Amino acid sequence: MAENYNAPAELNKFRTIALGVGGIGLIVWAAGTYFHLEQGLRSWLLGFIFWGGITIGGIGVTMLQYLTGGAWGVVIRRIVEAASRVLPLVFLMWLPLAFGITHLYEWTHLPPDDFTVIGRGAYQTPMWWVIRGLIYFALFGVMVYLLNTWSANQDKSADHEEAARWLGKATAFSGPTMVIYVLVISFATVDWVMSLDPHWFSTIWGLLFVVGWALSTFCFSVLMLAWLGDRAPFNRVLGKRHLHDIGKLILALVMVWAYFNFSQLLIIYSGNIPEETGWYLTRMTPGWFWIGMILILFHFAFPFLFLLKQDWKKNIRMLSSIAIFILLIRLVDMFFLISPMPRIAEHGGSLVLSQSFSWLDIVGPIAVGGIWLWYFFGQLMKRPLVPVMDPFLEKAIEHGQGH
Amino acid sequence: MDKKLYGLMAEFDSATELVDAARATRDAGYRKTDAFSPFPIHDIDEALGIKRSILPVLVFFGGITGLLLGISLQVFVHYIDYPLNIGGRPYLSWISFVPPAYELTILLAGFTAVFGMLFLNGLPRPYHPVFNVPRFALATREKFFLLIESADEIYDYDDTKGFLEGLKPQEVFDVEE
Amino acid sequence: MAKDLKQIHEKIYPPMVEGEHTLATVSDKIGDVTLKKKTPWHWFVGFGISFMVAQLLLFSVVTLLAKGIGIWGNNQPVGWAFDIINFVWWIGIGHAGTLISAILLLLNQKWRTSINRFAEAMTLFAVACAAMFPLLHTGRPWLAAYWLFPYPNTMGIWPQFRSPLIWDVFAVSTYATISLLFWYVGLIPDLATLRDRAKNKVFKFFYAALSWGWRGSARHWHRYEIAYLLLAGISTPLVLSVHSIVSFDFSVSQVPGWHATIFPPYFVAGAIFAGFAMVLILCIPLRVWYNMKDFITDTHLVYMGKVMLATGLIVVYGYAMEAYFGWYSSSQYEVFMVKNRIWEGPYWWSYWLLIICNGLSIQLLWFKRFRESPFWLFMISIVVSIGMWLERFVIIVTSLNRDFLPSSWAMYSPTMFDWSMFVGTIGFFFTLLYLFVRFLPVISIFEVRTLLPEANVHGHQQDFEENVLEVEYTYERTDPPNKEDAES
Repeated sequence: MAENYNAPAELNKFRTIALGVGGIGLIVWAAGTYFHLEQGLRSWLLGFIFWGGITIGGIGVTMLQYLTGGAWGVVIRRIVEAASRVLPLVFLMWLPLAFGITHLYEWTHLPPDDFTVIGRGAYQTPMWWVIRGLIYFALFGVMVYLLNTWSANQDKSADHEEAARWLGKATAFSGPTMVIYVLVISFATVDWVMSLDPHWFSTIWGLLFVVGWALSTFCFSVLMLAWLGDRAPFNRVLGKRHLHDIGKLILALVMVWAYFNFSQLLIIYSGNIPEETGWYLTRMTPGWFWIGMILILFHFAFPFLFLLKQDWKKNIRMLSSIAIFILLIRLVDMFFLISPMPRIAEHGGSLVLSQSFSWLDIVGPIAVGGIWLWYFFGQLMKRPLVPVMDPFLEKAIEHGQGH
Repeated sequence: MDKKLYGLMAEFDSATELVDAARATRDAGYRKTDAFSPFPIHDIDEALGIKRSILPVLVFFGGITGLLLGISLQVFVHYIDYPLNIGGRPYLSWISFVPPAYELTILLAGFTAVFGMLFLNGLPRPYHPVFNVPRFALATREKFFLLIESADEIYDYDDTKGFLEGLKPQEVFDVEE
Repeated sequence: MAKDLKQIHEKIYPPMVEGEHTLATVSDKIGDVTLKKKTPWHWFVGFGISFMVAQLLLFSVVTLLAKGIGIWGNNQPVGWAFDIINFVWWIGIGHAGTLISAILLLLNQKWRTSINRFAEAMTLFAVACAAMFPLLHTGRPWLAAYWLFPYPNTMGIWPQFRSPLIWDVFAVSTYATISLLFWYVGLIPDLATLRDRAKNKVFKFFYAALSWGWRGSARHWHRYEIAYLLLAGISTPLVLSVHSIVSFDFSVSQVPGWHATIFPPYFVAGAIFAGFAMVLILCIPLRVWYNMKDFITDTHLVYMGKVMLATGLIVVYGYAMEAYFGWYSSSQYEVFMVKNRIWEGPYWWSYWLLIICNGLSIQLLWFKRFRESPFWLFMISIVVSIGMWLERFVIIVTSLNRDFLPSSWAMYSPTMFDWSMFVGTIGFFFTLLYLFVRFLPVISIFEVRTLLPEANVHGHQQDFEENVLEVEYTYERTDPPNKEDAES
């Protein structure tokens, strides 16, 4: 156990770069937002949903790997835990949305006789939106705190038996908490994203984010594995079969993403009722339609065919290439959800793609991402890169070495 | 006597012995060999030099055939042969055409996997010379067998029998044609 | 240290075969169920009862064909009732079999090994029961060929491919076919085992014919594993698609309470939920009667209980989202539907019964005491099976009985023939299962062999799941291996 699994000090360099990029991005974003408040907030929301999604996905993947067991979980546990510990920062990033709520959400401007204002009552008011947001973060916070504390305690265990007890505790906690986690995401994403269009609804919405964020988290973890796996100490840990397992999970999530989205499309398309179908009508106008096609081809078809090949799942270079590709296309997916939503400046109308796309949509995610990564690297360096006392550590490392 | 033999077969007690024997056989230059076991043994493929099967490729094309069949069937029916306005939907409502095309893809891929496997394996084949060895009935229970066919280039009854006995099997059998 | 670790591992992941077993004893123990001369008395009792109950089905079907579907309780506006409820219920039950044989294989879960065979058999029989209902609902099934299958006919008409009912035809027939192939492929090596062990001439011929001359050749095993992996790979999206398409039967319509985008995943979870309940109902008595506790261990039951809990929670999530979005939508039809279903409508009791059966009963599974007791698992499984039937009842009847036009509202009640047909299919299902248990190996013999200590080569366990997943990598060199490699 004397083996040293501390993160390489080179990460400090990345921290500085990330902070620099994030800082500059933040200034540019602030300047742009000064001139165009609604667009600025929307772009911030895009960055928040994308990067915050990796943090929230990190909580979910941490719990998932406790529940399923398996070598891949031991290998990526510390990465996803570190991602989940970015939560305080994600909360701070939520504050601009809360303060700018009347400039972001059209429902803050609806006439009092609108059917959703009557139907939803106090639920659809800024105050309750904020209170609910605080509750979501409080619940996520408890999850992050407990899971990370127990994981740290496991590292300090005197022997494997004690470590197994901490493992058991985290596993027992993860079961019921997973239920709460999925519910919180469902309600939170309705508030944060779906309510941009107050008149539209889709019951599968929460699951789209549960799956999408898990996918982002796995892809992000693969990038970290690719970098860490090249250096001491992680090169002693990472094996081809870990990559294969994670590659299969990414493949499965890509398929599930397509399945959920196609189901939603088919059901709304076939039903063709005015309550819902406008959402796709907007997104089937020229411009948006091509973004949709890009998503079908590159969020599903291409990664799907790519990941069918076993050799490529086992090759870190190939796997990390597809991971970064999927992360980028995840951003496009989030853009496709957020940007065509009705705008206050248009009195609830949507914009066509050419007017809707703004340079802030690029700056926003960069600003949020730079700061997010800076915080993330700091968290990653705080703990050993693998759970050193975990009773399955040796087995997990051994598993990776096969074929 | 020699001419009538299909080959020689050695019986082993464990999978490890079988794999070691198979490796030795291959190293000795035998190519027309086969091994029989009550469960699939991973290591035997490499020991015997079994090439990776072409089956996945066949299944991929089976699936593609199903997909194209599904698409062309629906396009033919609803666009070419009998266009009919249903609920104001376009004749080419591709979103609705996905489920049948998807199912046909899977159906043909599945057929290819199963019948391709059986075809490549030469099954069904009720009679095979190895069944002439009475002890071979245990190959589906607990024993392991290694076969060298008489058609092998360097097969020679006495040499091969001596070679097999050198592998320390339980017993060596003549397999009659 | 190493020993200490091993104990911890075994505590968390107990071994999947208990007792002292060798390759031979496994083959004998499982094979003897079918080959032993004496059939146990309880088999005759169970088969007899099932067979008699199945006669109800015969009676109902004959009456139906003679008189038409007017003998059912269907009316306007509840034009779909027991026929579709039972169809969805049965087809859902089937899903556990495919999940166990395909998805758990891909996830490298070793506990699938001893339950996959009869779970797959259960799938086939459940699908057979399910397929009867829509066919009979056509009233004149002999005409259904041209309604359902696209072939050039003298009338020059085609099926309507935009209709979910046609998707159903494709999905269910593909599902039945692929499940049958998967099951049969899994059986081939075991049938060969039975062929070689059978003393009775008739049995020997029967198994020899079915096993197609399988001889356990290494080359055959290699392709066999690849075919198995590919089948698992294509069955996984298949099983998801089947119940999704069943859910499209409802959700692509515009009926409030049916038209919900969450239906596909929620139906799939419900199907697996019901399926695992049925697997537990079947395997808890089976392992006692046939003394199979070494292979279907308590750990297997615990795992199945956990899957039931997880899928049950997804189902409950579905209920929660339906209610929440019904309210959130603020659409008068959706809000009315939620109220009508939960407390204002005449069928409110069915909703609450459903919540008790599916929502509350499974909460017991959080506790070790219930999860680890076969008795409680059995009871919970029965309650869940009833609950999943009620779920379809709630979805169908509460949504239809009060549709958009209040003047056409009507109550629905099933007739005697609705019940006799449903009960009859249960009899039919168990009849087939009893025949299966009597004549075919209920547990996959060759897969259990790979879990035994004997099944290792130089310390490398020949684990079936793992080997299948790695099968494409079995051979990377075409040259004969050199000595040094062989040593290492």
